[in-house]
Amino acid sequence: MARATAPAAGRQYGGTISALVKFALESGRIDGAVLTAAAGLQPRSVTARQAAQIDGCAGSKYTISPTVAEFNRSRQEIGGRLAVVALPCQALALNRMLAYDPAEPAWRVEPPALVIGLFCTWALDQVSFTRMLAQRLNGHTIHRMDIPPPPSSVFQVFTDYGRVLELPLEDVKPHIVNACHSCPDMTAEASDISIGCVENEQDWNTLLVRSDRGAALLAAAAAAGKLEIRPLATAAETHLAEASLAKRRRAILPQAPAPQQVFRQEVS
Amino acid sequence: MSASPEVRSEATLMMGNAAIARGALEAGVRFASGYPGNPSSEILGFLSSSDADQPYVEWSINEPVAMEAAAAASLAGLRSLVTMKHNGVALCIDFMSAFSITGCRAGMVLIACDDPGAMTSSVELDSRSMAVLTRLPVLEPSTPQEAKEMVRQAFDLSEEFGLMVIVRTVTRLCHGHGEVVCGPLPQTSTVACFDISRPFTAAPNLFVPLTRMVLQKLSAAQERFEDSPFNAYQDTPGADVLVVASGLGWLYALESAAAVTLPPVSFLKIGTVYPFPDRLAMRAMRGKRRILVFEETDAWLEERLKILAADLAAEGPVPAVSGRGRLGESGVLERYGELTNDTVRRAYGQVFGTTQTPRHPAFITRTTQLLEATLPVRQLSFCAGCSHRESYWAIKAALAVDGRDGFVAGDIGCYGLASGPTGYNLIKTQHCMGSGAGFLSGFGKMAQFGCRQPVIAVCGDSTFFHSAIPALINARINGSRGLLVLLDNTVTAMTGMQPNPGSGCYTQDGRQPAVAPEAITRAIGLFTAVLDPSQVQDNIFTLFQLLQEPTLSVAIFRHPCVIHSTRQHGRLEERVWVEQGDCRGDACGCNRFCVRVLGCPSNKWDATLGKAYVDTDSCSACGLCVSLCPAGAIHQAPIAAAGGKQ
Repeated sequence: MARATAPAAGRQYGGTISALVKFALESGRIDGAVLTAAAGLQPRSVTARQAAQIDGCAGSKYTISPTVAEFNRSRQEIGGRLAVVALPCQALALNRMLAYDPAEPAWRVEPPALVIGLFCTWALDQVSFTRMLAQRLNGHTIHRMDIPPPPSSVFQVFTDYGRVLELPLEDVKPHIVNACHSCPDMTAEASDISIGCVENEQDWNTLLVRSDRGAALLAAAAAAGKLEIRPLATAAETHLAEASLAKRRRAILPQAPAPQQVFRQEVS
Repeated sequence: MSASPEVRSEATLMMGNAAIARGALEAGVRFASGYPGNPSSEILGFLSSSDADQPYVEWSINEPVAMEAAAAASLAGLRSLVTMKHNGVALCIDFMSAFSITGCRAGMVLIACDDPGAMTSSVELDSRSMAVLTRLPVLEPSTPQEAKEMVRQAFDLSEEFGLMVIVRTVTRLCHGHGEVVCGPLPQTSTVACFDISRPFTAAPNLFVPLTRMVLQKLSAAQERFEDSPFNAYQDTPGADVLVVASGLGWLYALESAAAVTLPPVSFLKIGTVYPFPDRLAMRAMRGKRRILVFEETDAWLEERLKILAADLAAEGPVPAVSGRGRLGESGVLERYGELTNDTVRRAYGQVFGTTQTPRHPAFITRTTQLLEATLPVRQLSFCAGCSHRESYWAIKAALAVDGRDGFVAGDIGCYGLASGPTGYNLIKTQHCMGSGAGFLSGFGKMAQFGCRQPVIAVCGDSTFFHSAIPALINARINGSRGLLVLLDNTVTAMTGMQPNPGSGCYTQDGRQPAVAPEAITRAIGLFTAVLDPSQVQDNIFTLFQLLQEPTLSVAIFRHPCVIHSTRQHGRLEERVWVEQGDCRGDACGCNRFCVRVLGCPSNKWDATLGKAYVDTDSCSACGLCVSLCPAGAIHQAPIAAAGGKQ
């Protein structure tokens, strides 16, 4: 488990991702990071080149953005060593770049310098979810979003002036991207470090270190005093493994109802 | 430096089929219909799940009916969309040729989804050829963004020309994801009304004047397409080679050109495939020594460019046009299949005389290692617990008991996998939807020519409604002998669990009553047995008895698709396991029956222990292996009673 020693404003849980990316930038390990910024209601994939730009990207978005496209754009137009904060599916796509043909031009061959993977149970379709949200927000600005641990069954949207809009999860689930129902990967297995949260530990993140460069970055960030680290409790580790296995099982043989299929709809 | 990173794209991530649906919504589509088939199946789903002003959406019984229904909406003044895969377009040619003559009223767009390389099809067809045959305009997008724009504008063009417009896409575009910038959604409130003073009739006495009108409309469309923004000509000074590309060929052309060193090349992107912008193309062709064409899959652009090249002969040397080539000659590309970066690079290599290896040897080694390490070799197989496995076992056993070398005439669908080991290689003829029933009609007459072999046709429930009914009536009315086995899993499973008339259809007010296939077959006058696939031994006997009758009969094996059923109702609270003490392993003499013969993905072999086991994660507890294990080593019990048995 880890948490930032100087958490960013707008951070969710331990603020570990922002702290790690900032440290990687400031220590010269990377030249930029592809992140998802909250831009109005619709999150946008962006490339941060300065540590000061990272705080604005903190917090879960719950929707999927064209992150890989932004990485490709930045790699081609600007270049340099880029980190990517990615959902499991995006981390897998980025990992495939390791198999790119060395005969290709350099801008197409260079894989990410670092992939920080996000724990993900499912993601929401940007267009339809944003539209639904806009109808319920009455013009208020989103501060952050969260799904509290069970049994709450709500999707919380924190707006300006401290208001909290609570949507029943059942209203949100129809907006889940269909492919997520057959995705087996909860913990971004193709990344250097996977980061999520753990129940009942609101100020901490759970980390799974998956590569040597991921381990080196984490150790250096801790040594520099940017992160506080402690072991994950055995019970929490078991729970995480069970949750990850459950997603894999659902992908093999779905148990939850699929999104409503078609329909002969009467015109109202 | 700003405190926030620069937002360089306002785009969202969108699947190609979602972008197509979005384009239709932005155009104010009010009516959408289709028949499922990959790669088109998701489009109607995206339309129906949109929380915008929803159009009416239906899965129709087959493609021609879907197109006629959408055409009716157009004639009533509503913008309409119809979607299907290439096989469906082929079925619609008769209607399309008449519909081009009568024309449409409100904008109507056909999304024709082709499958180059036949990844999820039995054949590949090029819908562009069918559009040219029926004289209907065709647009072909290269990216999800362009797909959205083309669909949106296709409705305007349809109304401008008075013709249904076809937007032709391919698998990689339909299922690939890309960045799409969305536009506003309109408010639509058109009241449907058919103008009875303006008939739309394609009668013999009107053929000549109406055909003249169609040709005038196409001329107007061609003029419009000459400066369409969907086409782009990039003239490179000093270039004597022109690359012409459409659809994904355009992306491959650019990507491969960036990856290899080429002499100066000019590029012409074609988005308006038909009517072809002849003047634009001839302008690009002038002064070129060589023209290279990248398109999927027929050589349609290539042949058009060869005609135009001949027209240029009066002005000087005629450029050589290369691409898929003519029948009997080797082009720089194969005459079938998808384009890839490799094939396009090889084509560049041939045209520019380079012999470089298109891929770095280290890349080939590494990708081969990755594939071997991560992708197990697997046969095509019915899902774990699929009732078709039980049904085919009964068919196999009944034919074996009958002993007259009987065989199965099949068609396409999940059950079509029975042409392979998962269905015991039973299917011996397999062509298209409903073809099994047609073959039954013909094979069923072979007895009078001395043939003693019984024939069983199989079809699924969706196929039965789609196209098997006329063949069955034909067989009945002409006195054919044989047996139609209807494998009814109550849903159109292979294409994504869409409902069909047999499963009932969902409406805003609930579910419309289903149409029972047995009511139809009995009304035709055929004896019909409705069977539970799990009663394997009884079913073998029933099928054997039916095969002895000198008539035509029907057996319906009915069991819900296990995947669909699990999604709807959850998993069966039962567990199946191999009692390790009872399994005799290779000493049994069954030759690993459960693993090798049944081929269920949940029946596994433990190479270390030398015994069978059941993968409880994927097993749906259908019980077939329990009933057929010769050693009785496989057991089934409620999960609570089974405890931790594995």
